Formats: sequence, structure tokens, C-alpha cells
Amino acid sequence: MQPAIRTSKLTKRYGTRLAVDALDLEVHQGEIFGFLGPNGAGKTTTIGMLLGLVAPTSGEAALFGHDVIAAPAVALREVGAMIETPAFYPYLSGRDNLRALALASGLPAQRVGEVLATVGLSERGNDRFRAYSLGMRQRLGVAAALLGDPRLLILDEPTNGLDPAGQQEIRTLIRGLARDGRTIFLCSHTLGEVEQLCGRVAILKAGAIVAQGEVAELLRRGRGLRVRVAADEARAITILRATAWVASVTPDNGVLLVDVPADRAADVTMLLASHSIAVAEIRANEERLEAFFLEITADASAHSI
Amino acid sequence: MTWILLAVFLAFMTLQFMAFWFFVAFVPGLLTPSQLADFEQRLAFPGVFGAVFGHVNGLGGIFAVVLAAGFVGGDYGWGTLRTYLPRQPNRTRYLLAKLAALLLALLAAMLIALACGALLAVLFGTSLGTSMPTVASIIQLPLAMLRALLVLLPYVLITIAATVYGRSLIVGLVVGILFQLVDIALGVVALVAQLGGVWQMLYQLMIQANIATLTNLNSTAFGLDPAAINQRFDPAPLPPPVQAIIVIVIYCASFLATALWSFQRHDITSGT
Repeated sequence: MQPAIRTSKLTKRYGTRLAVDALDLEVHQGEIFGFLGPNGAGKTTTIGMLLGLVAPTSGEAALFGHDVIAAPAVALREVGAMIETPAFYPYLSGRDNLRALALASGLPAQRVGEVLATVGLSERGNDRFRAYSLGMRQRLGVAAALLGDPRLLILDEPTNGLDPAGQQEIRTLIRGLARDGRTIFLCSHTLGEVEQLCGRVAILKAGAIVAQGEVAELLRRGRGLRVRVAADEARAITILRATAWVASVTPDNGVLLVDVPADRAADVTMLLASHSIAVAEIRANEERLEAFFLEITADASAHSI
Repeated sequence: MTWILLAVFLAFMTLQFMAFWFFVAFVPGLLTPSQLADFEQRLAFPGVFGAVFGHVNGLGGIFAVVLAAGFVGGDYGWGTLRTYLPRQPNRTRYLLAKLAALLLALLAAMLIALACGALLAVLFGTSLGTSMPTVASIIQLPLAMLRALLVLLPYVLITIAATVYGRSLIVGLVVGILFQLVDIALGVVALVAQLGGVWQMLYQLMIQANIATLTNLNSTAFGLDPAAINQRFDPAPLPPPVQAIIVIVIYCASFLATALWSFQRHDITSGT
């Protein structure tokens, strides 16, 4: 099966500034893929290249196996996208904007009512776009992306400006779309959202991918163990610190943060048990995506995988 | 914006007709006999059509530039290209569809202006005791509309080309209006054309000379004499109509090619 998105050495240079640097990306069909990076990392430029809006300086980009540069009409046929802020004609209603878009795309007009209902905008569909709140604009952007019933949805900050209930609705919608077999390429600054929704992520910094993989694996990778002993914590610290394969031990509110590879949990348990110290709890020291993101984008070279 | 532009254009046209009527009805002594006859003709059928086309190709040219810059530049400013082009990635088709919509809007505006002019002619003509339109003059209208559209087209296309090249409504607007001003200023070259030979040939390759041929045709077709108001007007150095059409089409093709080339080549990023 062809990947939904595949880029190979995709590069964009503006004069002397390298916006995207030899990006290799593969997004599988049916997955929700998170695309993260600080402002100016090259996320929007990458999306622009995937959508045929920005011409790459070099490299290749293909959607469902079709080259975006050589055959954009075919490659983009099954793609729906919302890039940057939702952009529509301000003097037209939400409904008329979607009608115009459907007409320009050769899509049936009946889809307009369906997608407005999907994003909860049926009742306000006849209001002019300029009168919409930020949240309503976001919903209309998502509706426009869904208009062609796409197999691949590229969403840039889809919950931006929505209240918590609206954010939850959009997340539920995204999950539902993925359950229907659609691929979602989600660009978001809300890292909790990415953590909740995405199976895999890529983190971009200065135009280059600094981390890519499954969210759970990225969060587990190399972070050590959290160990809680039933009693005698001070002795446990001494024993662990005296062990060659333990890099460090840090007490933290009744828990010991033991810097060892996560797969050595059994060794730590046996070591402490051999000294008659009972282990009450031991688990991988998982951190939140936000902490991982901040750490990796602050010092990219140390965490490239 | 389209409706506001049309309303302002019609208001200016109405004011001009009211001025003609004022001079003819109340102070005819201020006019020369040929001017008086010309003003009367402009307030009557079929001369009113020629007067409307004169207005369309005069002030209407500036309005067409503003409209063209807005039609294409709005897409950059509002960012709607980001919404449309991923769904319709054939950029040539997209820009040509925009141009077709613009030309249809200009034709519709022209029809409304002609209807408005006819209404004014009936209103003012009643008090002056003038005529009703003839079938012959109405049959002339479609051809005259096409000529008027062809006159507007180079200005519209250079505006679109500048808007696309600069990715900005403002750039298109400034270049379109500057082009018109420079074009008008270059009208003084007509004096050199009277020397004949190479000078006349050069003049006849200029856009303004060819446009003057078509606007002159749109006046004379409805019985107006351009020399009645502008006594220095001399149609002699103007190129023949077929040559005028060919030269204008060449100008239009080059401006359109520039617009399409720029539109194909440029990245679509945030608007200005």
C-alpha cells in the first residue's frame, strides 16, 4: 500500500535561508500523524509544498504515490486541507463560500449542507464569513477541507480559537474521520492534543526533522525508571549509586528517578530485592510530550534519532 | 466593491449628462455652434450611446483597473488562494476563470451604463424635444461593446499581471493607474506622428493610438464627432481599425502571458 504522504529530500530555500532541509517523511494510510515544531521551523512551508502551493527547491513529495509537482491535479484529488488561518471571501456567507469552492472543485453542491452539519455550522451557515468568530472560522475551514470527502486531511491548527467544548468536538471528529480509514496529517501547537490524537509524530526544528516515531516510544526513550521502595530509601539510593550500570539516582517526593535504560527494570528489582529492599512500584519514567518537545527543540542535536 | 464602483461610475456619468443638459437648456450661448450640436446629440439617441461608450473608455478605465486589482488581489489579501488552489491546482485555468468573470462583470456594467444612459436621454431628451432609439443604432451596440471591452482589456491585463507579480492588490492598483497616466501622457507623441514616416509608424504601434482608433469608431458609429469637443483631434495619423485590433491583441497577449507566467511560478504564501 502506498504511503499517504512520502517526501524524499524535500528542500525549500528562500535565497540564502534554508526553510526546509532535505525532509524525509512517511505517513501511512489511516494514521493520525502529528507534525510539530516551533514557530518558523518550516511546518507551513512543508504543508505548502505538499499542497502544490510552494515549489520545492529540490526533492520529491508524493501523495498516495502521485508526484505533487509533476501531477498536482491527480495527487491532490483526494486531499482536503486547511492551511494557516481559514481563508474565505468575507462578503459571502459560510454556505456560499463552500458552494463557490464546491463549484470550483467540481464537487456536488449537496456536500455543502452535509459538511456544515458535520462541523456544527448548519444554523450559522447563512451568516457572512466576516461576522464569524475565530472558532466558527476554524469550523468552516475544517468543513471546506472535508468538502471533497478526502482520504487525506491536512489540518494546520484545527482547534485554534475554539473553546474547550469546541476543541473536544473537533478532536472527536478527527478520531471519527480516522476510524473511517482517513489519514490525518495534524499540525498543532497544542501538544496535549497531539499526544491524545496521534499515533506517530515528527518534530521539526530549523527545517529539519529532529525526532520522528511513535509518540509512546518517543516519550519512553532513554528516560529511565521511577522506583518506589517500601522502606529504607536511603540505603536503596546508596546501593543503586554503587552499581556500575546506573548513571544516576535522584530522589523526588518519595520516588527514586533512576537513570538506566527502561528495559533494565527487572535488573533494578532483583538488585534491590537481593539487598532485602522491597520494591513497591517500578515503571518507565514517561514524560509528557510538551516536556519532550521543549527539550528536543531546545537542543536538537542531542536527541536526533 | 463591484456595486460601489458601479454606483460611483453611474453617478459620475449622470453628473456629466446633467452638465450637458444644463448647458444646452440654460446657457447655450456659452457654447460654440459645433459644441452645442454635439451636446444635443449626446443627450439624444443614438448619440447617447456614443457618449456612454466615451465614458466607459474614459473614467471607466480607471474603475476597471480598480476592479481588476480587487478581483485578483483580494485572493492574495484574504488568502483565499490557499483555500482554492489545493482543490483546483491548475493555476492557468484558475486565472483565466477569474479573467472571464471579470470581463463578464465589465460587460454587465456596460449594459447597465447603456440602460442608464438611455434613461437619461429619455428624461433630458423629453425636455429638449429629441428622439427615440432606432433599430439601426441598437444593432450597433454589441459590436461597440466588444470594441469598448477591447479598449479596457490592456489596462485590465497589465493590472492583473502586476497584481500577480507583486502578489498584492496595491501593487496592481498602482501599476494599472500609472500605466494609464503614462499612456495618456504619451499622447503628445501624436504631434511627432504628423512628421510622417518612421515617426508615424512608431506612433501607430503605441497602445494609445490604437485605442484612439477604436474609441473614435465608437463615437462616429453613433453620429458623434470627436473633433466637436476636442478641436485638436485629428484622426489622420491613427492606425486603421484592423491594425488597431491586432496591435491591442498583441499587447493583451503579452500582458496575459506575463500574468500567467508569474502565477505559475510564484509560491502562494500569506497575502499582503
